[in-house]
Amino acid sequence: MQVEISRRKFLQGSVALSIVGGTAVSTTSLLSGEQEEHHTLPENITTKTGTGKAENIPFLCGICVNKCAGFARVENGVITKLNPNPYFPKSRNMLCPRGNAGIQTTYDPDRLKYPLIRIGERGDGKYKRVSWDEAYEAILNGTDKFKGIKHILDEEKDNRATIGYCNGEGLSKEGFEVLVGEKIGSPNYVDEISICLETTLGAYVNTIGTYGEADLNNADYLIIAGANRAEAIITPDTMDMFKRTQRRGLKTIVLDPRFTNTAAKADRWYAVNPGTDLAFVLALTYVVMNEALYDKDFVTKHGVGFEEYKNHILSHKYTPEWAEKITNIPAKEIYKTAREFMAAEHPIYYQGRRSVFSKNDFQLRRAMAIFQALSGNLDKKGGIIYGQKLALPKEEVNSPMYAQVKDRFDKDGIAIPAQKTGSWIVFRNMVLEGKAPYPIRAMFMRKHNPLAGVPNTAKTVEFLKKMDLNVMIDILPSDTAMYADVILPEASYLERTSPVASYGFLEPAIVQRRAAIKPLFETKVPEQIYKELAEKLSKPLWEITKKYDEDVQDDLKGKSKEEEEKYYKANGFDLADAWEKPVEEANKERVAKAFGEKAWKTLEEKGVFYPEMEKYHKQLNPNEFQYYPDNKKYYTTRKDALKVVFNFKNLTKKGVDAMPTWYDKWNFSVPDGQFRLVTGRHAQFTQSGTTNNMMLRDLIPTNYIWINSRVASQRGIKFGDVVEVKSSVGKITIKAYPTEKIAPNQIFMLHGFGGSSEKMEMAYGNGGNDAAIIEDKIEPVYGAAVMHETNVEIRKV
Amino acid sequence: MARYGMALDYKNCINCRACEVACKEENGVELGAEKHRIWVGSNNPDGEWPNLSLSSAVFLPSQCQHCEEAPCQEVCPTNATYYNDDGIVLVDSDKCILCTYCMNACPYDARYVDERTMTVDKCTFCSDTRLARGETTTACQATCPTKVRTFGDLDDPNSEISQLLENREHFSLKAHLGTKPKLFYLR
Amino acid sequence: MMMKDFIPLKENIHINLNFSMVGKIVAAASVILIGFYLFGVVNFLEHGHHAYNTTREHPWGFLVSAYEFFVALSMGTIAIATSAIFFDIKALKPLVKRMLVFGLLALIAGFAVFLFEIGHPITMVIYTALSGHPTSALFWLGVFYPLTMLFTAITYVLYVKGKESKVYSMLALIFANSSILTAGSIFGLLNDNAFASGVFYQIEFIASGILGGIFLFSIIAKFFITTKEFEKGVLLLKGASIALISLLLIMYLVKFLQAVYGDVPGKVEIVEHIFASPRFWLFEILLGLVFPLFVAIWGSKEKIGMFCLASVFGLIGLMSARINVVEAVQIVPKQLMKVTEYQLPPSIISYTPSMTEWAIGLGAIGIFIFLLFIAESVLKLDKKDAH
Repeated sequence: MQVEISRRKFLQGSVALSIVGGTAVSTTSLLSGEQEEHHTLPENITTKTGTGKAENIPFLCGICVNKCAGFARVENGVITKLNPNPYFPKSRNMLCPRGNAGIQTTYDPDRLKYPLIRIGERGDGKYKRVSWDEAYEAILNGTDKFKGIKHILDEEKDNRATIGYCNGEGLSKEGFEVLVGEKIGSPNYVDEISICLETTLGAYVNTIGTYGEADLNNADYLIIAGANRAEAIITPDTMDMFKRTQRRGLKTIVLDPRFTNTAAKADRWYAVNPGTDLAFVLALTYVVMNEALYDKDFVTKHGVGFEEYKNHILSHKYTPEWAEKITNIPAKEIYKTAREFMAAEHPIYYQGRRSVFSKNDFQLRRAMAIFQALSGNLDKKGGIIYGQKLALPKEEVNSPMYAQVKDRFDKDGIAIPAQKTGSWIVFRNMVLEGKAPYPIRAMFMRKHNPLAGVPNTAKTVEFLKKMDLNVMIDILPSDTAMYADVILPEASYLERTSPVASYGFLEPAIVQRRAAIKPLFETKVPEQIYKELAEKLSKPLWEITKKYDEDVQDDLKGKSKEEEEKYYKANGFDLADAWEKPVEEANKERVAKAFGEKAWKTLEEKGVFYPEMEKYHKQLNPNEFQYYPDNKKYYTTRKDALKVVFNFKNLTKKGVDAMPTWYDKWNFSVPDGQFRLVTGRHAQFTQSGTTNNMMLRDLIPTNYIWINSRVASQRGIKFGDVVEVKSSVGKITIKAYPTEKIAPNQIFMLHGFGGSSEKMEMAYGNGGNDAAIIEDKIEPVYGAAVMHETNVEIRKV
Repeated sequence: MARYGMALDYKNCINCRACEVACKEENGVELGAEKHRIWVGSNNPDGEWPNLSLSSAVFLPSQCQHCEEAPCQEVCPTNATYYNDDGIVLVDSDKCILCTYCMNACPYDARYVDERTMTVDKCTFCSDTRLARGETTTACQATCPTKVRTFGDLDDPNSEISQLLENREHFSLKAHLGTKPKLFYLR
Repeated sequence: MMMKDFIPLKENIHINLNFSMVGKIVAAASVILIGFYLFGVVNFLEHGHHAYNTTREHPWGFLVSAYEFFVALSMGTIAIATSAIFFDIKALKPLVKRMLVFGLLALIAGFAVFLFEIGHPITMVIYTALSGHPTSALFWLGVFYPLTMLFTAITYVLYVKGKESKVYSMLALIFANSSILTAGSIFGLLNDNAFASGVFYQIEFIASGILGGIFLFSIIAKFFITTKEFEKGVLLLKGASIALISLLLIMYLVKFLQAVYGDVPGKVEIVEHIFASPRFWLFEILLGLVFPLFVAIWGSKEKIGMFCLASVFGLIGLMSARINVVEAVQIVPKQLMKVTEYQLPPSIISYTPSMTEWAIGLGAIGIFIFLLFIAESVLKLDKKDAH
């Protein structure tokens, strides 16, 4: 990597330049001796907004998964402020701290600015700046340091499955799936889902037919377990929920091993033992079944296998007294909660999100969904709603068929393997352990940082080192990017127009992210990168297909050059044909086709569109807006089609219990002198993606290990002391935060810190990386990573 | 001429600190943890795990109270701290001599030194940014996820803030000092 | 017209470098201190206020203490010297001329500190004049110091010329007392500060300022005039110091009792902190007050040597008293809540001066001694120079 302006220099520069805000300087003055294209950068890290001319461009936030809407204020080509968008019913006129700090992602001095090719060893951060074409060329043909994809596919006889690929959540993710999955033809995809909420989604969809949306605006009783809406912000749940907590209409029961900011807002907080929520739900269910508190009409009408479930619960004697020992929640509290829940008019057992906590997570989510259904509070106001989604025309992809491609194999120990997204841990570990039936030789990666996200970082490093070719498309030189051979710099979300999206549920809308400024430096929007890479690879890979693919050979027999070209195009082997139109044009076409020209205009201007928006959208007070009138909201949409699967018999065929059942092996226990590690989030960070954000670093400079203050004082650990945290797979050093907000046998740390990439000046070496110490365990249904089953030792250093 | 104040429905606050970031980005506040114009106060709940007192855990967003009898203004030797026509307490950085007397006199810890200008800086109610452009909300109010804040003219009986203060019980911080704060916490 | 028409310079300016043993030690010490001062100034010029350990919570540091020490010493000295003229206190007359000048020089030493404490000294001069704010104690200091300086200088010039001006000495006395009262008011008018707010600091400043003047008088007397000549003066100074020290000790006692009685929040924490501080007990109380009191009551009636030593300790005590007051008004946090998850709950705010702050604050003592030496060399200060 070329010598660039360091963060420190940038800061110093800002001191000299700062006092008058607003005016812009070109990068040429900042990057000494570099011939740069003219870009406008803010002259200070924080820019005071001006009173002169400004553009307000609607964007969708990309700093986490929520996709909140905002307007970017652009003055003289510089984004000076991000403001909330009052038109979007999901994010309801707000931006969280991260959303506000998004500017710092775009103007991060450590950003990837131009394509890079590795010239050193993997992980040592030695890269050479190259042109885009040289970068694509290196992917195709390799360099003296690594092999190109052409070479690899030739050796693998056109088995496209030799390429693995991964991508984190985002609006351009689908395009990457089209490129590597559909067009290049690899089945070996892993994404964030198997280190995220896979079991929750799976269990809810299979039990009540949707993950749904909790109508927290109208609910009156809420059990929220293992979800921390005050710190892990989800729109609109977070905004709706906390306006009515603390005896203002929404009685709130929080279950969490630690005292979170959500717990601080609760009516009751139960410090549940990690991984034992299922016993709690089963006990709640027992009370409800035993006392016949459930909505009888509802379960009769919509239930499948209700009686069997009732017998199952009662015969297993899942009493509150039984659960008390397992969960650390007093039996009388369980009785009270179960009775209150069923007596409430609009009770919600919140679905929860995030990652998989323990091996019983799928059954836990099933039990939760069923418990919700017992109240009958589904598909109605104040309950879990199914809602509506505005349909956009589908974009057809002409996917080629490759005869040589082999099936995905990451199924070891998994009952129901996910076909598309697989299991990160199983995939990686099988490759590492030589259990893959064919070699995995290349990883195509985008916007994903498995070194920080997938448990057992050491294995991920080993896995990436095993590859012949690693390609990374990203905004920042992440830990994982440092193991890539070719790095392609992507425009940040404020510099790109993204494919239009539809947000469903209670108040559906179409939303579009528009580029606020042009891509800085030599970065490009992802769809352009996909297209250009596809163009580069298309013909050479086609040659390899022709060489090994007997089906194609048969089809091409006796065909002329022109006919062959026609065949190539007609059968989707032209990899670039999925990106014939730029995103802006494609968006316009799709929206205009579905909702008319006027809808497109509204969308361009406001970033949001939904039918009757002009009529429905009203400001209620300086803070709040009406998006849909109450009688037009989609509270009830499923009606008679609603089905609740109490007894899911087909699961037994896969070796999964048809009904949630507790096993004693799940009892919580920690060996003496050790601690159970729990991890989580803060409102000021999005995993590893924001640790280099200067603004957010002001709010949380680093992560700490929470340790019970009495235990800490026994061990002579004081606030700020550095401790070593060691598990069976690794160790980290991290500062200590003694607090009573956590149990004596547990510790907690924020996820996302402890970066290993030296190219990220603020994140590098700051705090501890939880993925380095979490053991790579999976739950048995989908093979999703289990995050809270690692015990650790702590030592003051 | 207005008399600007802010009502805070502080029980809504989840300590996410979006307000703090929005303030910094809007007003070009100097970077640094100590350099904040606004903040959210929190505390360690009373008790021992697992018996922690829920009612003792409070999040209290705060900032300059724009007092009508501002001690910071009284002690400023050069009138660098002044009230503008709308009753907003401001610092004229040209006149500030950095004696930091105001920082000691302010009962709310609402002031800090901007090391770029080496003068004292504080909340302006966005008067030189958003209000100057004719907008009617401050950056902290506009961005708040749980809509804690309502900014407005206390002299206008029809303003949202006047209505709120008329209909809801409220309190001010350190009111016994006679500073007449214009931040009102709704119960 | 010659400069000598306005400033009473010596006829033959002679810089005498033949110091006595004590003189050599003092000279060496002041050279080292001036070097220390210059080190501090260079550090400041290089790093600005970053060279100081002051923070948002504790914006006033050691430089404010050092400044307050010098100005109180200055005003106390001037107050005694001008009183001697205005009230015609013959016993003190042998030192009056010298002490008028030394009082002014102490103020200048104070300014040598203040120059680097305040952020924008030039802006201060301009805007105190253009938009001065009468409700600010600091503004009145800007008014009173120049007036005190002016009238003290006039008193001195007239005195050298043989005129004991009642009017100018009275004006100088009034403004010196006003200054010191105002300096105390800076703390006493911090209305939100339960410990500082009230009348304590104003009176404490006057009492301890004048006490500082007495200490300086006693030290100077030892070096520049015979004991015999100043015997009555010594008795008077000792008597006054007994009264002032007793007053101060009573005030402390009452203040602390009031704070701990019923554990008054905002006060008791400070008293607890002060009681835990060796600096307070050893320097401020024992060496600074009790020892001089002891010597004043039971020491030799004739010899001033012991009281001179007690006065040196007394001045050290006063310096620590200034450090203690600046600390006391700031150690209780105004931010009573945590502003980030990862911090300890706000408690007593600790502050330790940086090396630069020590250098500038203590180095000013060297400046002061150097100024005294120069004045001694060029100005008519001895009794024989006058009348």
